[in-house]
Amino acid sequence: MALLMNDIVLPKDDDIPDLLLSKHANFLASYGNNKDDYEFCMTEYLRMNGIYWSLTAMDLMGKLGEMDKDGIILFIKQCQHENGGIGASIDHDPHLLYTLSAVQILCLYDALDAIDCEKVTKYVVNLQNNDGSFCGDQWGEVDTRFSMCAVACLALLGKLDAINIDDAVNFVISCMNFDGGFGCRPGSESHAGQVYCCVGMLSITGHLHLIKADSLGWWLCERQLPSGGLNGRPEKLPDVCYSWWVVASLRIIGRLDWLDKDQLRKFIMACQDVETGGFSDRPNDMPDPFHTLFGLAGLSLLGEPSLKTINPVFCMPQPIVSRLKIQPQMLTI
Amino acid sequence: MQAQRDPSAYWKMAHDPYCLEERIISDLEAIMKKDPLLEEFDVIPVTEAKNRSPVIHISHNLGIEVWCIKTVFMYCYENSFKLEPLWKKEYLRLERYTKAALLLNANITTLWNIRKKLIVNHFLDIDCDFLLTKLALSQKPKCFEALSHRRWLLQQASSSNPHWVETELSLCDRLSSRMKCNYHAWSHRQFVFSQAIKQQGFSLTLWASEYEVSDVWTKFHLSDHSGWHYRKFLLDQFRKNLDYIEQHMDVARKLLNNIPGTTTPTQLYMELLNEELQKNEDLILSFNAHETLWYYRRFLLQAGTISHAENHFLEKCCNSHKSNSKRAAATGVDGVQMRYIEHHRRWLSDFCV
Repeated sequence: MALLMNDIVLPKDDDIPDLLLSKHANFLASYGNNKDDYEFCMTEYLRMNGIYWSLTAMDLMGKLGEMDKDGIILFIKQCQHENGGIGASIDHDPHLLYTLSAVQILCLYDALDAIDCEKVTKYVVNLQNNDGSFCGDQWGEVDTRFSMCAVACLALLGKLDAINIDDAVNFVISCMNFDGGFGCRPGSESHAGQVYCCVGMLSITGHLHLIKADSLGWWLCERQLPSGGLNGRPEKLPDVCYSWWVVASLRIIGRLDWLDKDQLRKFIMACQDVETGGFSDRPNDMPDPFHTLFGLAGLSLLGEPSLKTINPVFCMPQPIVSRLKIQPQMLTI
Repeated sequence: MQAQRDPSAYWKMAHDPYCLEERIISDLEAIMKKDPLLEEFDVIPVTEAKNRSPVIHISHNLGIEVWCIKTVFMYCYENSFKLEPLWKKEYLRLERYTKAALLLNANITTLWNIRKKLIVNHFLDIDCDFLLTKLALSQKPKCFEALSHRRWLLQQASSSNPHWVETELSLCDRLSSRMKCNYHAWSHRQFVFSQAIKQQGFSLTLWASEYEVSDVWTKFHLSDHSGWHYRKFLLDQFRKNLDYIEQHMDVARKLLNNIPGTTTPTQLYMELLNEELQKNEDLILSFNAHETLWYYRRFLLQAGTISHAENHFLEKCCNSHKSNSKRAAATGVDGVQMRYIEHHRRWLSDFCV
């Protein structure tokens, strides 16, 4: 059955490891130390995301103190451009994807004053188009991911009222499909990652009542395969990152209980690398910080007691979001 | 974890036009200039340097041997960040370095942006980047950054090439065949279709040709949800342009093989949905266990009107499933198809009352 369904077979229950927290912390703390210049440069285009993934995962495990706070804050300062936007690394062009990661990192450290936040706000505001959508940067690509980046960033800065929210919401709603899912632009295929962005965006702006929650909840639950893992679209393989995109979306729309949580937990646990630490997309693949964050974040949403609670909208530890006094909307059945 | 640019590196990287890296870049550049019909680029697994150029050009395909890519990439990458796009003296070198670096890693948005600046300032011909993105995509068929750059190029220049729609659609064909469920390739195809309509108005000829292509494509890629989604997109486009179609009913009937008995565009649309529903039924009954077929069916049902015959269809599925169950049990199809039948039953009762 597994082969026919584009699924994987999990190891026997006894062979699935417990949660290897200290290994994961070591994996993240030393990630990058062993990389040569070539690998460093090949991945520099998403450095800011990488730091956000690692720091958030460390904070969930209560290990944020092991990271180089001062160095990271200095780095972010150097990545801010004259127009207010922030790039993936020094000398890299600003983009909403990295601007949001940078703002999230500074919130983790309670250090927003390290950058010029007013300029960040201006940068985000200038990227909104007449139809309410957002460009990712000055070059004009539009995507619902960028709508999420924009409102999440402004909400963290306490400046949500700086953009036209009604237009922004209307654009996101125009990307909703008959199945209740969302794609990157109007008429685009539903995709669990895009669903998370759109649901998160509507939660932050308080417009979740516009979602077809039952239909969407159903579609999201159908992403679960017999192995317990989740895929992002029909007939694709399961991947740990969807333990975040799908589970967080279900949590926001109040339908997390529709999933088989025990089986999902087994799948996530099986994706740990028992040798090096870290999580990979599927059991026995190479671990990386991206899947490590989303594995841990997924476990936190499932109620793992040894991790801090995660906020399903911002993908940040709940104590940070509470400190900022942000209460994104959540649905209940 | 942070990027540290060593200022002294600038001097180490001082420009030597005869160094190994420069010679390799020149070889790449010469081939790209000489052969505008290049189709593919790839890294060739030759791990040791031999006494010849590591750049290979065979029947419109470009290759580079793996042993040199680290040093070439590092050289180009570092230099790309040191030169100023708008300094006339430097733009030629900058163009070379960003080109080679992007061939080896097409994800680097900032390097694509440098090339945009060169194009805007007329230092670089836009056709170079149609070729460069095509080559980069031949190696990484779902590279978002390369496709995004291409969309930007199209918005600058689509009017200057009368065949741009055909070119883009055939690129999309290649990308979606190369990689299953290629979200970015199919999004690009939707962009191209929408952009063409924006420029020239709705065209039944383009629509019908895409509808035909997608019919063949989905038949050969039953489990590719993105391909089915594109078909939904086309049906939606038809529905949204009923007013236009009404003015051109004779063309529409002809293009759609004279569906008999249809006098209004709405009837024509319903007839298309029915045809699709019938084909979908045949596929579900003959090819077990394809989730995508069931999703497409849901779309068709909600786009038309859900008929009471749906329960009859489910019965048929169960019966065919039972008669096949001996063979199916052996292959495991059994449980999977039952799972989809059950999902469909629940979907009908929950969402289509």
